[in-house]
Amino acid sequence: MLAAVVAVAAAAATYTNTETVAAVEEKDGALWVTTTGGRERYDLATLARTEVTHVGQPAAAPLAVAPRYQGARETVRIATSIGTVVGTAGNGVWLDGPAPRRLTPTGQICGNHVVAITTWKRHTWVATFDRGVCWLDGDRWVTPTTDFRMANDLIVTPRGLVVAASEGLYVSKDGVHFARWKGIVDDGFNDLALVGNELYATMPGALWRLPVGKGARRARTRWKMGGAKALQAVAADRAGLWVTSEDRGTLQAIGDDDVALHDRVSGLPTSWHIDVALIAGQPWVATLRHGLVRRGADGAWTQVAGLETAWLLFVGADRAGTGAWVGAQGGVFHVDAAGHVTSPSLALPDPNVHVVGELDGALWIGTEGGLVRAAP
Amino acid sequence: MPPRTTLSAFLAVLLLPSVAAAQAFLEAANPTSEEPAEPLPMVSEQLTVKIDRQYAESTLTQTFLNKTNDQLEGRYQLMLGEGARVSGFSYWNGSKKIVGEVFEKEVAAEIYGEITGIGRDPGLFEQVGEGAFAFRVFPITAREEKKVEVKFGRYLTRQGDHFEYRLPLGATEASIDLAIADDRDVLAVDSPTHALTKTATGYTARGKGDLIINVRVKEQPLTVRARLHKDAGQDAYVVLSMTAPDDASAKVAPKDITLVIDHSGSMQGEPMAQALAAADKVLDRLRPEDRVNVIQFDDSVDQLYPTPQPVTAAVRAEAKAYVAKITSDGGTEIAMALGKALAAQTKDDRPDVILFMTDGQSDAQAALKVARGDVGDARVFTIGLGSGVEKPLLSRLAAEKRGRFTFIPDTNAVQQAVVDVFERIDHPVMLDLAVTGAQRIYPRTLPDLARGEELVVAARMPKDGDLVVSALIDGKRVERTLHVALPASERRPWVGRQWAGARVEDLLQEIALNGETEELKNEAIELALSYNLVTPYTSFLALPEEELTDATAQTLADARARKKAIQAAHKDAVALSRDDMPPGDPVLSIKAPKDAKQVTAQFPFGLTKDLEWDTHDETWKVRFLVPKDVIDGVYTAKVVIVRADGSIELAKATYTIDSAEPDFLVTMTQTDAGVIVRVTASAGVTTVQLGGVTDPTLRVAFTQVAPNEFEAVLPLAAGRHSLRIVAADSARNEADQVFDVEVK
Repeated sequence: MLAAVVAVAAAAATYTNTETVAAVEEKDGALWVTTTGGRERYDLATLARTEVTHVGQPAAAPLAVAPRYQGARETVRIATSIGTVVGTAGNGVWLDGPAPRRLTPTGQICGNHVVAITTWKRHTWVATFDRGVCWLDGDRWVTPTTDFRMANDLIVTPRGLVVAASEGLYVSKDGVHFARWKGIVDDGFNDLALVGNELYATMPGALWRLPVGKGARRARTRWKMGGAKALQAVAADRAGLWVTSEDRGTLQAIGDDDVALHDRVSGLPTSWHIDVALIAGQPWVATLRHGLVRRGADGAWTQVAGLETAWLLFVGADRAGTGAWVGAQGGVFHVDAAGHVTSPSLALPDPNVHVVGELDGALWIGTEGGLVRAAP
Repeated sequence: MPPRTTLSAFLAVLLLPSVAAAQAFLEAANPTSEEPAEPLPMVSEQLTVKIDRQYAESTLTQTFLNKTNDQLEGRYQLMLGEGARVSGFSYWNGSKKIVGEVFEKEVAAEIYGEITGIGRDPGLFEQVGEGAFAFRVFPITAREEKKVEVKFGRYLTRQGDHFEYRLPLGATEASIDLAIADDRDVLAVDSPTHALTKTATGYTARGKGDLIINVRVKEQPLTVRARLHKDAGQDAYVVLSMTAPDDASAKVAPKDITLVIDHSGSMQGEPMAQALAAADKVLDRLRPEDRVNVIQFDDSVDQLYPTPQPVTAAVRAEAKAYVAKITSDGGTEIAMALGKALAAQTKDDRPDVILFMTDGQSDAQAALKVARGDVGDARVFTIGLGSGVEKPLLSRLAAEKRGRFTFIPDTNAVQQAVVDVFERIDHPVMLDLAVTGAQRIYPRTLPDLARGEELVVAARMPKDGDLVVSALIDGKRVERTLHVALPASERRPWVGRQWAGARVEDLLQEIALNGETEELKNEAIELALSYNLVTPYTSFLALPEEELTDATAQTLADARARKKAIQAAHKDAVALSRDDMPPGDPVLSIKAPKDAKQVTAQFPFGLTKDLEWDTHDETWKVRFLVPKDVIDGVYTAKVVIVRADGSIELAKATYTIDSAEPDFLVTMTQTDAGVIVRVTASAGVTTVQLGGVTDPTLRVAFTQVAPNEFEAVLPLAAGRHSLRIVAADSARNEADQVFDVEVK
């Protein structure tokens, strides 16, 4: 069954990073640049970018030893009517010469694979799969220098902006300097949740609870939950704490010492659970390849029908808190309280959707190929 | 009459059991010697069979020994019989399992040739005939044990209340594990060939030679059943089944029987003698109220009567004498003989049955034109005698005229087999069958059903609805309906593969009859690649990828790219075959100097990325995504490192993509301490857990007690318990089994 389509205004903006260049071609009076963030057209007279088409990933280049150019690996060097043009892996395309001139616009989003989004200090912040974090200042993105690049989640706390990254857990008070969380040497942090002044952070082998303000339990805890070795996401409110895993399904905290497992052994279709959101106090769980399951007030789990794909990446509460946004390997969907599925009619730069958020009056959709902002 | 076995219902083909020869063997020759190939001794054999209602999935693992001191080239041959579909093939190099994947046959052969040319160890598994498969492997080193694993499936058609699993095994004592999942009452499971030992969830046996297992279930005739497979967002696959009433007292309607006998020169000898003896026996079985005719043909046609005549004593004697005088000569003109037989049928309400026996080949288009041009209601039952018969033509002729095709490969068995066929068609109880409520139904035409015979069709269903089977029983139109509410998803991949296999068989028939066109061939190849089927156009290729030359690796990469493109166009198939793929976002770490000028990785699925220096643990790292559509196998990422002094280093990182669900069998023993549950799992299983279905508080983690062996003791109270056991491997693939246990 196909999901119904609801009308949504066209994307107000699509943000992609075009600094990784695969090919450059001079054609029809313009310079055409193929990048991992889209195909660009540069006017030969002004050297200004006039167009970006968001297309699929370019073919991989053969493995080769390459010189560095402007701090990045050189991927392309061609002679054109305006001189030698050089493409790089990560620093855009340049017109070579005694004073090399960068053609690729600056102020781009830090990475195309967006995994998390939030608002902090009145700005939109995103975390990316392998290019760190950045924030939107007007129409330009600002990328702070960080020790981490493989970010997985970010959340605003009384201590500042906290980032869960594969390299470790980081926090920043000013958005400029990011420091490892004092005293935590673990790496591989996956997901974050905040309840009051207590921060929960998952890593594959454990769940951390960290005090971040007044009223929190003072001691930090590091909890190895239910024998799980691959914890993924965490969702919590005053009434409950739920953690998903790749190997034990969804773990429900029972007090501080025990867990209940909701997995294939207990009758769910899989134990590989990706993400969890609390909707009206009950967990809705995105599984890797068995769709969305949700728990009713009676404790019974049901599978949501109507999603176009069972391969999911994300679930998060909608603004009303009564339904959920679902990111999938095949688009974005909304599921309401009754289980009805709809899908916004948006052109996405990539079908793999890792995060959806309703922030500042806009709908934000993070994909593997860029970020889309649309009016809901 | 014992249950017939190995019925391929999807093409309405009856395969009569022949004397089982050695079912699988590995023969090997020394490439440097002129000596003929000789079979290698089999040192172990293990068979695991899982029967889901009536679909049997088998895993056959055999180990052969090269007792010589020479390096040999091996050819493994496997006879599974008609209707079997191979879904997996692996072999071992020492302790390393090499898993095969399906490619176009020409590409697989090309890669195989390139690799054997440089003395590597590939395996190529091909279909070489109907239900016959072969596997080449090189080299088998001196004293090496060569282990081979083949997975295959087959629908076991029911006759009345029972069905049969049959597989010829080797001369080595085989270890057999059988599990049956059936939502009907299973009344009996037994074997005339092996002593079965019942366990909590199935049966085990040990023994040599052919294996036959009989299963009897309780189910009312005319009960419509459906098995589903559905991936979210895709049309469902459905296998529908229903059996005809098996009432021995049912009235047998008088009918007109026309025996058509091919007496072309190729029938000379035993086939002719057997066919004539069979015809004679059929004549003996006719009742006075029947009518009979006999037609003989080669490249001309001669018929005994203009139309079928009442079976008086004189007519019977005349017909028998006519048959006895038939001698072999001439060519084979099927179209002419069929045309005469159809034209000679009378226009009345009596059922008209034509029993058409031939061993030869003929002008297919002419014969089909005759069948399609006939507006009468005669049923044509074609019987192919010997290996030279044109099966696609006879199968399609029978389908066109709502009969069945029976293939009798062993000409010594013709007499009894033909009599058996006649016995079946003498008692048709359901006529003019039709199935509605589904789409893309196979087989295209449905045969009449004899007493106790089962109807099996494969189809697609896009939405909820009623599946309706209608038929004439005793002259009255009878309908049976099954409402199907499609779940969001339901996993039963064999259902999807049955549909795809039936579609491919239909295409192959079309190619055989009308000639190969690019359109037909490409569809067959695309379906086979998408659904993992071995066909005349596709083969399993298994090879150790880390040893490939760059050129061969490129050929393989090109083949995979083409396969990937094909699968992208068959999203339903991709969803089916890729559902277990564990994707992920692993991090590649490389130890290289901090001041390296370049550290770049290339991944085999089309991605090149630079690694970044991680200040925390002082390694170079990059995170990459494994797309969900990557095929199972061992992959190597290549990394180039350019040091500060300009020196270059190449590194490799190997990882495995494994999506296969684990297999496991459960045995249970009640002791004073509780119920001891032992799980024997396939290699790679790391955890086994048990939970209560009715008692959710029951949860037990098993302890590994030996390689692939797990055990737990359950303190179960007396009474009936419903339990679910889940086994998971290191790639987080899971499989579960639910069963009921009675504790005394």
